[in-house]
Amino acid sequence: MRTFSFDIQNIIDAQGLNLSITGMAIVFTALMLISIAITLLPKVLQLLAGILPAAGGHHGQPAAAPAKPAVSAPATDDHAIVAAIGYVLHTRLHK
Amino acid sequence: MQILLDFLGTTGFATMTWGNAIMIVVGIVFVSLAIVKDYEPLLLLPIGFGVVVGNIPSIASMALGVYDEGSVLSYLYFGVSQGIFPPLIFLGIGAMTDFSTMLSNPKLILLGAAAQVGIFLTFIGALYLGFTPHESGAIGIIGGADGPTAIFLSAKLAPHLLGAIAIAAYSYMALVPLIQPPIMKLLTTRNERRIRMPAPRQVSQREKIFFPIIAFLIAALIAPGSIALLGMLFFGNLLKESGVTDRLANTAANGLIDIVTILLGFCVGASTQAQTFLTSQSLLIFGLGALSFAIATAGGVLFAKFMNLFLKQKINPLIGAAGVSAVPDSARVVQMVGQKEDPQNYLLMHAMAPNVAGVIGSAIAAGVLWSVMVK
Repeated sequence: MRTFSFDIQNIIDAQGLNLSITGMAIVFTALMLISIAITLLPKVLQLLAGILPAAGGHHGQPAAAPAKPAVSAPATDDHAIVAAIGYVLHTRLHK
Repeated sequence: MQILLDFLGTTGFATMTWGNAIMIVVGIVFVSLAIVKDYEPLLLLPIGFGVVVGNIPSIASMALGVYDEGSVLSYLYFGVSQGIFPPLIFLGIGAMTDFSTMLSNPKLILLGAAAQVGIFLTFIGALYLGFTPHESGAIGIIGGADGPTAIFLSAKLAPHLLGAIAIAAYSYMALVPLIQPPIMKLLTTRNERRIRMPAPRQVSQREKIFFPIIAFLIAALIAPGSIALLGMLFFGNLLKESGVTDRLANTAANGLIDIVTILLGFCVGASTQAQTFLTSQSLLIFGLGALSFAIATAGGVLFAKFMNLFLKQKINPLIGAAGVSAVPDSARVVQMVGQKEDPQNYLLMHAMAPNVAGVIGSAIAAGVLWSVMVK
């Protein structure tokens, strides 16, 4: 059976604190750089708009339809009706 | 008669230990939770049944278990022990993930970084309890709330703890709806929980295509240890977003990920044989895992509050809790807690941004720990 020694010296010996701070710093740096790259990406793409081929167009095929918004509003009345029915059912069932 | 007696001596009834019996009950509880409570059924059911299979005792001369050389299960387990399955899972996740919300609000990525504090604080905690640095790194990654990442790193750093770490990671992922809400409520005021956020902007298809390439280059160049996981994640996403490889994307997002999930879950379950699993260190790993998860949740929420000190357009600090990478469960929990305060507040889309950023963040953290430990 393995024995455990609860000791702060274990952390010091393994340079645990330094490693944790460095590790967090690296994770933050990497994600911050990705965040900055994403922020700049639309502007760079705008600058390159003349050079890049039409989005989705390849092998001589026509370009694809424009991208959907990140949050798409209900496209038709049907969706709104379904949502309303769902809401009413939800509130009734939880009374 | 002697043959019959010899045979009876080889049956599971004759060689069953109390430990095996307890683990079989645990396996059945997992299966029941999956079927009755719908807790992460795609994972808990294969893991639970695997636990039952792995704890049927057999005589020593028969190669049956995952640890027996030459057994069928050992060949299946090869994908776990060598870290093959987790990158394949990431390929499927990449092919299923829509990064639009993250691309539309890049500052929310930082919440995915903040939540990784759970990994590194638990690493320190595990060292304090006497685990070796390699074991501590593998235990700490439970705080990333990402099963495949936890399995990948423990296969590399502490294979003997793989079963306990994998079970802890997936159990806590299944328990997200129970663990996170109290911490979220404790650290936020009612007014903060009611903050509404504007709808994300539209993201062009070109941004979606360029993103996986750029993000992979940045992450992999900084932490090469994350290449296997993030390479497959972003490759899967490029298959999806490129628009020219729909067949491949569909296979990665459906057939492939399903097959690998079955094999991974079953083999992880089968690796929890009582003789290796029912130990005091497994209990410590479970305790540290819960702590790790709680710290990660708190880290995300508190960092969101910190960001609000500098932002004109405030963010709802609840979405910080989604920085742990349990996709999409923690984002759903954010939505649920937010709607309890304001039923008209829809936080799900916003919470998906730190949620997918958390997947990237935990893979980078795993890469960092692996790089440092193997030196």
